[in-house]
Amino acid sequence: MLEELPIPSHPCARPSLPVHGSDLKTAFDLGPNAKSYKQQYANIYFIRLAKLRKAVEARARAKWSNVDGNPKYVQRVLDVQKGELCYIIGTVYMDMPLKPNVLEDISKDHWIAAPPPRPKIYSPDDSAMLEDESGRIRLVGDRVTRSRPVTGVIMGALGAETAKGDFEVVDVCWAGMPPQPKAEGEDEMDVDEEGQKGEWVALTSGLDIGGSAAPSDMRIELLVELLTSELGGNDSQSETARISRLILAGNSLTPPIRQEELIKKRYGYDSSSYSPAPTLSLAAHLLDLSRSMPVHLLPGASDPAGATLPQQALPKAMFGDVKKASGFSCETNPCWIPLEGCLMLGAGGQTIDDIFRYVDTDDRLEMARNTLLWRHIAPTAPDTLWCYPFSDRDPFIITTTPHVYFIGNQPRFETSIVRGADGQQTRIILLPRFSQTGEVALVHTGTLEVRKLTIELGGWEAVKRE
Amino acid sequence: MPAARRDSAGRAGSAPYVQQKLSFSHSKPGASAPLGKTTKKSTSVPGSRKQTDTPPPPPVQEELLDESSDEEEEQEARTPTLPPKSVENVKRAKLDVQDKAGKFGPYWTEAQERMGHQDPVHGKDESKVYRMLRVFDLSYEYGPCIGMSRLERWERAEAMGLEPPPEVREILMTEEGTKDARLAQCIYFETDA
Repeated sequence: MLEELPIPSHPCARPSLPVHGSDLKTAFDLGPNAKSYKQQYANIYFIRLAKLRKAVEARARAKWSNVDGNPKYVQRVLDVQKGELCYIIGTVYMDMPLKPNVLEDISKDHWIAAPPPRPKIYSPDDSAMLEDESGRIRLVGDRVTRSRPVTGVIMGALGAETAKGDFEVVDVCWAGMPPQPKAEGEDEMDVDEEGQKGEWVALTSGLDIGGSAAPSDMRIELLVELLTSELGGNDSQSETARISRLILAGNSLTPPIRQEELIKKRYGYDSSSYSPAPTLSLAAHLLDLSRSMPVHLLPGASDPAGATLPQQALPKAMFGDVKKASGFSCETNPCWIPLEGCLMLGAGGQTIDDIFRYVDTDDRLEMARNTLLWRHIAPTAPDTLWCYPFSDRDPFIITTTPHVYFIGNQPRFETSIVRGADGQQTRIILLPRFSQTGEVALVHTGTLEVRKLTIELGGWEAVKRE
Repeated sequence: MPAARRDSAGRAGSAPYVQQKLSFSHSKPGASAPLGKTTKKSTSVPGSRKQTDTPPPPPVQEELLDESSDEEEEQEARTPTLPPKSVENVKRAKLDVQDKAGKFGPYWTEAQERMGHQDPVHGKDESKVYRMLRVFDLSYEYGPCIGMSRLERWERAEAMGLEPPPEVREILMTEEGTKDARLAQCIYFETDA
């Protein structure tokens, strides 16, 4: 009987940046006491407006105080006077006729099948309104539609009230990117050959273990071997040996596919729909990976982590022996990963997918950039995005700009650098599903350079086509 | 052959274990009563039966304590600035609902201003303190009032830097302010559950 391979308590194979113990790490943790859903969602909107109003006001003042016509700041949205140039700050509400409305669903006939969900709820009849504690006012003007706001964003609008009672908007203003922490110079970090301090971090999402496609299993095996530097010749091994961290950004497991409709048992669980194989398979891969590098696992839409955002971390005990490895950590979705010299913010993709439904473009990079400018990564929560009813804080508000902002489970791999007004810069990375594309992104934490690795199974796919 | 059962009438000396019964004729102490009172009274059975000191009494008391400390823990987790309530006998001030001493003067004048210096239409019998708390509930600067107790809302406003009136906190930290649901919870809270 062979002895079990001892699991090292520290992944000592390659040096990696330590993760700071900072407040941001637990920003999305609900805590053991937060199991009550009795609170109302109005609290979230109140907190969001109260916290972001000052930032929007400062930026609006800087932008518009010297404009002709001497606009002044009106505290309450309903206090605007007709014809007077002024600016107001409030929460945007998009009145969209195509948004699913529960009252319409109930009033329809019972035996008409529900229409399939639309990919976009945007329509040309949408109207934007600005709301604060006193009331709402409708915003008109194509400046508003061009800026593409979504429900829940805190916006400042410069304009005047028309005769009909609407507010004609001349210019809009967001909170802007928050201040970015400066990376302090640390001398003990791993300096690679270009002389830049930092490490290479591998990012991927959508492993989708548990689906019935065999090629995806093969791809994941190859990925594990690649990251542990067992694959390839000497030069590619030395390159991949510099990857010192892996982040799995959501959808690592899929719900099992039911082959046929079996008679549902009245008592006991239906064993055809439960199978431990996907979890065991993922646990085996994680064990291999965490022996050589720290691994961060974020839950996604198809993972068993709860349907409301912020999704809590999957319990480590689910993965068996990996829980003893010190490098393996289960994160929440979304999550902050504060590395030394590089602050990373990651999400599983539900936030951007929801914003996608509100706007008419397909430019997801633009949407991700806007979430940084709005200082809020999930503005559509709790309107169309399920969210926990926070009563005393809104953890989706960004108070510091991250250096790397990654979003998983998007249709294509896209990346760009966004620069803020005060010299902040963020690398935005949209990650595709690994099970469909085989792509892994590598980002350097010091230079913010991005490379893409693709794992293709030429031979296997050829066999399949025959 | 099984041993012959001893019938209860033939008990003498060392009695077999008889399960204790709860007495519902005694008045039970409330959940927030001080620790010292709830010792053995709640499970005493009238009668002269000899009882051994067995496990049943403590769980009942622990249950009562658990309920009260649970909700306090919940409150503490959400509002960490509250003083620790682990000592049950915290001495709290008494509340004068008509505020004859005038301790809450500044906020009373502000509350009157917000109400336009008029009495509420159906609330002529309401005390000053009750009116002040109602105005605090309906002040929109501190956010929605439904779903949380008044003290939680006050603590949240304080943590966000909105400067809620300190008189309201004084009222809510008195003895009546913590125990009476009509003072501790918002006006939309159902108190007759």
